[in-house]
Amino acid sequence: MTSTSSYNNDKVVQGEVEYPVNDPASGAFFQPDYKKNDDLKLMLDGSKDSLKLEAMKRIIGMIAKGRNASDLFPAVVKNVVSKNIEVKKLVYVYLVRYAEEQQDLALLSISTFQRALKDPNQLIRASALRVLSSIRVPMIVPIVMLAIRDSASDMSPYVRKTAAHAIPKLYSLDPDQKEELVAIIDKLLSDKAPLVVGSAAMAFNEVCGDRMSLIHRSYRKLCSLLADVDEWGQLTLLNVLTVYAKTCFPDPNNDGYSSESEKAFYESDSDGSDKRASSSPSVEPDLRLLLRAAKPLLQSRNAGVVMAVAQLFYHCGPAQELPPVAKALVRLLRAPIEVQSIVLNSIASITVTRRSLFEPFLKSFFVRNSDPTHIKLLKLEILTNLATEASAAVVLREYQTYVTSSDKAFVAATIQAIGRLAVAIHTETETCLNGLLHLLSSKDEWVVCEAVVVVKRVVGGGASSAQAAVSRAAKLLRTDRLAGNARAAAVWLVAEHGAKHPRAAAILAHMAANFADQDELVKLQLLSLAVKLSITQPDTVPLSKYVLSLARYDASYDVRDRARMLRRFIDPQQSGLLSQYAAQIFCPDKPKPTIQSNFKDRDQFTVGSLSQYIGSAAVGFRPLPQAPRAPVGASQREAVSATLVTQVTDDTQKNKTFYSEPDSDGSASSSSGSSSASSSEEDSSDEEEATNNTQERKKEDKSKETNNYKSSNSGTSDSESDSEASSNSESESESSDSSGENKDAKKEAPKETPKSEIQEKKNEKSNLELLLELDEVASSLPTMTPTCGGFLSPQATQPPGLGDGDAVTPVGPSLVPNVQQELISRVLSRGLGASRRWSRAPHLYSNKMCAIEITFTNHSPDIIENIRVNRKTLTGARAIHEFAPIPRLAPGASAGGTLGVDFADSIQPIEFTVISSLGEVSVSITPPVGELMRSVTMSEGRWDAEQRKLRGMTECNKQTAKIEDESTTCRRVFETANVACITSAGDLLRFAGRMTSSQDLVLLSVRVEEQTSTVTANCPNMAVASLLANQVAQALARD
Amino acid sequence: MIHSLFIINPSGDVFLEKHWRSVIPRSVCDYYLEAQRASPYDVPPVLAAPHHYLISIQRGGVALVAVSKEEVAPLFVIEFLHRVVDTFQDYFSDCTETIIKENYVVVYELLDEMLDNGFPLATESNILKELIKPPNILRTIANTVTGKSNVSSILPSGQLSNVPWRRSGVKYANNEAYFDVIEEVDAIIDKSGATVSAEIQGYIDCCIKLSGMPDLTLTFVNPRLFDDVSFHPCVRFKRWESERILSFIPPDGGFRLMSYHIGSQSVVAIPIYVRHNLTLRSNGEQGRLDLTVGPKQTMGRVLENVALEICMPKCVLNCSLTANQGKYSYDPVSKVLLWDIGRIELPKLPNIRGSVSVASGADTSGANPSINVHFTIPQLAVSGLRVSRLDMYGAKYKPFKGVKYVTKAGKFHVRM
Repeated sequence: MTSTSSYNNDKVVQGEVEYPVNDPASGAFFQPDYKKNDDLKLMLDGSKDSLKLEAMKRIIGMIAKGRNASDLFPAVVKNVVSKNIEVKKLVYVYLVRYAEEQQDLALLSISTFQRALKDPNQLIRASALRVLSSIRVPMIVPIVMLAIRDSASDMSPYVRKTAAHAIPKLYSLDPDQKEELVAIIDKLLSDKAPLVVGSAAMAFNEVCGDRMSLIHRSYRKLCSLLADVDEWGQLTLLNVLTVYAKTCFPDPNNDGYSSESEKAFYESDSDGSDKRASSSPSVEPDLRLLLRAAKPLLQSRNAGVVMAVAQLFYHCGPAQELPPVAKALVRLLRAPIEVQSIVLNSIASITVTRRSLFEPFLKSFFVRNSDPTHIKLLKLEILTNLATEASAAVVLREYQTYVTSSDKAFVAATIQAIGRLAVAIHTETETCLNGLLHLLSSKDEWVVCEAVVVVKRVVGGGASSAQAAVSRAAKLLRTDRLAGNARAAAVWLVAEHGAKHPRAAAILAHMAANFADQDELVKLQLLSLAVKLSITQPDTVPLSKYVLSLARYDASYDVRDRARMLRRFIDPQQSGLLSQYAAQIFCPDKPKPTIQSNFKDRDQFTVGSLSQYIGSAAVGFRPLPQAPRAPVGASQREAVSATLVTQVTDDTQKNKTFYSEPDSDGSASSSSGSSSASSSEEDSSDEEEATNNTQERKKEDKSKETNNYKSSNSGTSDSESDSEASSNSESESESSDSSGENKDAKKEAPKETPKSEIQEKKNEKSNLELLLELDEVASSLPTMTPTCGGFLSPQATQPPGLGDGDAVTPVGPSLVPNVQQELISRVLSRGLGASRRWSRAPHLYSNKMCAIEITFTNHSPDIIENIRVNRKTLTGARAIHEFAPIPRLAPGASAGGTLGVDFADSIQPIEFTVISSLGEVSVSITPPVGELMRSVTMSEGRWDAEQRKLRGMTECNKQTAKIEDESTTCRRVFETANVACITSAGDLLRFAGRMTSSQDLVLLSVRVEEQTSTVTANCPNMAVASLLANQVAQALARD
Repeated sequence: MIHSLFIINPSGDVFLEKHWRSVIPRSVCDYYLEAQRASPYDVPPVLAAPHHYLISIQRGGVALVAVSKEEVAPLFVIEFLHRVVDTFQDYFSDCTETIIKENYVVVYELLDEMLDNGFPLATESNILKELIKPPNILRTIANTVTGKSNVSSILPSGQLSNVPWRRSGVKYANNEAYFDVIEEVDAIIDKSGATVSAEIQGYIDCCIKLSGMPDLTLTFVNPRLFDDVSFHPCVRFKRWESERILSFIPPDGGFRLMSYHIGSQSVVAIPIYVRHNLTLRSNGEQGRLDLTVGPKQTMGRVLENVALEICMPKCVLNCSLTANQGKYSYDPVSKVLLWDIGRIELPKLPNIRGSVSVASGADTSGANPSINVHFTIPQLAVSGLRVSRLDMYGAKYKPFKGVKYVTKAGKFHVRM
């Protein structure tokens, strides 16, 4: 490709590009655009990286601006193999964006990623998995699934993290894979690397957020890792653990703390309250563990993390531990507007139920003129919620300032807030009403309207000051300064509370004078005023009748209807019965209205969630479950983390001593000096202990070193005695205890120690250098070799759902072909002949090698000496294990040797030379694909399950001749490939094998149909699948 | 999780879009634009569209709108978007429409690294800079000449380390560590000059250029001052809790080590006072304005960069004033009177006085103008905080250390 296109490239540079003739279907309208893209195509086809880069940059620019660049797909995707890293990266970006639209072409790139997945460099493996899983093409689901499964047990935590990221991607592509993905998530959740855990929690949340049972096992470990996870991971993990805590632990507040005790806690500082809390018996120890781990995160710089901790404490923690949370939330009010808005929203709904929490911070919620309106409204809401009898005066004084603001929405809300205060705080009702009435005479019509409406609401219940309100309203009505709504409200006010007032009649008369000009609402209110007056002050009946008759000829049918109905009450002649009950109907005692916060019903949503902000359940919102009465799953947490418990309790004890100690605040210089001494001494003691300590202990030490939150801080003697004690106890327990788990640990210990010693040495040099979790790897991947890049035998990655009886077990070859093939012709080598035979047995040196039996025969008259392999030409991961040199071979005699070859799953010929006293002969062995595998057996069910995973591109079908006899079919298959038979009778014959090098499964089946039979081969390695299918088909076809 | 990100300029054009999952058409931004048109400075950060949720921030004149299809912690997204803008500012020294358009390839690469499938992957600036080199003039020239690119060919190992915030192999000829203690005074002063509320928000920003893996310890003379603190992830929290010292391995370059809050419960010194007198008459006559500014509790330091921003009532048409120091300007549209004073030198107190013309017939009774005050006091931390010492472990050389104190006005608000 590159050689041919170099011409084009020159053309571009010279600017004489000849554009190919346009597709006639594309209208001339788009011509310029097409031409431009052709130009890009030429640049991409060229060989110069700089031009490619330029083209890719322009294409990315098009994507960024939202223009369609999909027609360049074929040109771009070719460059996925580019050596230039920036071109490659940009191609990845392009690929991920457009793969969905050009599925077939996108498949071209897949093999590149598959190759990269086996790269020895972890970062390349990770980025390959990242891009591969981002390509949204349903066809590659099995490939991605396989890649995720393998990467989830990669030795590098970074690759495992990427695997966790890939899980939700695959899930959204194909939800049918859920069960298998859940198994992987389960595995990743129990990972010990903090890097992985956060992403695993994210995957858990996206795929199976309701399966809390998965958490039991790793709960304690997750709590202890919380501080080390990166901030985004912390946030997600906290969300998951909050749901878990709610599901599994009883509510610690069920004992019912009175609000008095809550208040008492306020005054004490956070340390004090913590001490008391830890002594309170109602908190589950496991919940306590989580709360203790989460609390330091209140000091995170990330507002999201702080909110997540707040959410945990608010929903799951004991009430007396909330004040520090409130403090942290108030701190966030200095953050950018958007953060403020969310935080204020959450505070607003918390204050509805737990007012006392934020009472000390009242002043932090005072409104500034510079705040945007929605922030002002939220602050106002909070201030109103917070106001108590003690603070009402302060709040009211603030409100007084607010009502003069130029922001109309804010003023309106302030007036309503005053109304709410008047209703909620009885001692202030009087003051509030006075203030509101004062506002009634404001010159701003808008303020007046709002005020009247609020007064109407406040007075509704029959407050003592109703009379004052009525006379004020009456005065306003006389001056005719009110807008329609306000006037209606004022009339209502007079009618409701002032029906006995002597001036009411005067108002009615005044209003009746220009009845026709009033608003419809006002007219309706006037009618009811008229009726009420006629009841309470019988001498006004003529006036009322007059008003009703005015209404009778009104333009509005509503008013006419109302008048017709009300007339019955005034006119005793028309119906005696109704007027008797008029008083009961029109002037009953009404219940007091309740004015409440808009945030009242937000309590059903989790604090800090999107649903809480928008006030309705968002898509995918899961409400927190009800807390159970008794703790759930305690035994499961116990069982698995038995080893972890010692560490945890150790930790908690330490913590307690800190809290109970008075804050040591000695002279700064001396304390820092001693701390440095202690830390260095501790380091050295760590190193000493390292050699004789158990695996467990080492891990703890290391975590102590690396953990930024847990760096030791107690005195030297303290920590040393501490660690000694715990190590002693642990070694004791190990020697006495003979549980299965411990046995395992012992078995692994010898393998383990040298590696971690190396680790330790590395630490000496730079103790904070990159640390791969070798411990973890060693325990989970005993057969791992660094070159195979994280691809281990699938036994270890089996989903737990498939039991042991279902395992894939290697078996001996079903048939060893006795075909000798000539390897060295005696003519070429002047008398030394050699033939080879596939023994189909694993080579002793490495089970990745195929064994080839070589028989040398001396056809020459002389003795041949020292036959051995000389030069080997090897590429990639291939390897040869030489046969034992043959010292001498008499004329006519034969001698054998076994050569081990690792073909690395490729049918490329392998070349080497054989040297002897006769000279050097070059030899080339081309393996048939069928010899690159080894027989394995498994249950039919497992076979079917595995085959389902290998659908799509990894499947290859071939039609061939039909053979009646099943045993013949089997024999032919066995001759062609080293596979074992799973089903040897029936319409579908199943065979299975495993690649020697990569350990990929190879599934072969022959389906007998009416005329023909179909050979199907499935293998993650697509080349193998198609070759095998071809060869078996040929073998079956030959007669 | 974040499905897509749109960056919108003030005139409402989407000039950059990036999708981490399936493509969401940009028409979804219309919901945001509608809200923005309704009230440009008051867009709620979370908007619910029929099938999507839009979470947005506004910074530097551009709006970043993240689209999510399902429930997500809003602060998660907001915090991330701010981190994105921080990163852009770190890379390009600013985050405006022109700069993003100029560097869209780097921007795109950054966005690609920062988020994977809508979940943050690498947000630490040290790691990102290892992955993608920030553009500068020298490198741009070198790249054009040699044909090299901004993408580093070495793989970042920082992502894998236990101190992910620090890049490996740092080397400097001059080893320096500078700390800026910045305190902002937030206050509301009422009509009569009494303090309604006052708080201090403090930050310690560092610029640390030290070779190797230094382990620093910062000690304060009076750490009990802090009401509430938040730390960069590098700070060892346990050490702070027990000894009240900051122990950390710093990232390379500039970062915010710590921010703290001294709340309204403690007494805060107010370093400035404003004496104001504004009389407006409703019958169309000229009103009078008289303002005097002076230092209050400044501990003997000088107030610098003093500026007053007075939000006049709506009825004020124009002002004709004379200032004995500094310059003033009045914007009749936004009704903001800006008086830039500069340095206050005693004994002369800056004063501005003159007449304001009021629209005839307008209602002047309910208007409450307010003043936003800006000032800077160098070499003073108004809370009295002092750094005692800085110790370094884990490296052989002797670094140059420096601490600077500054007090500024935060949201300093005087009601008239």
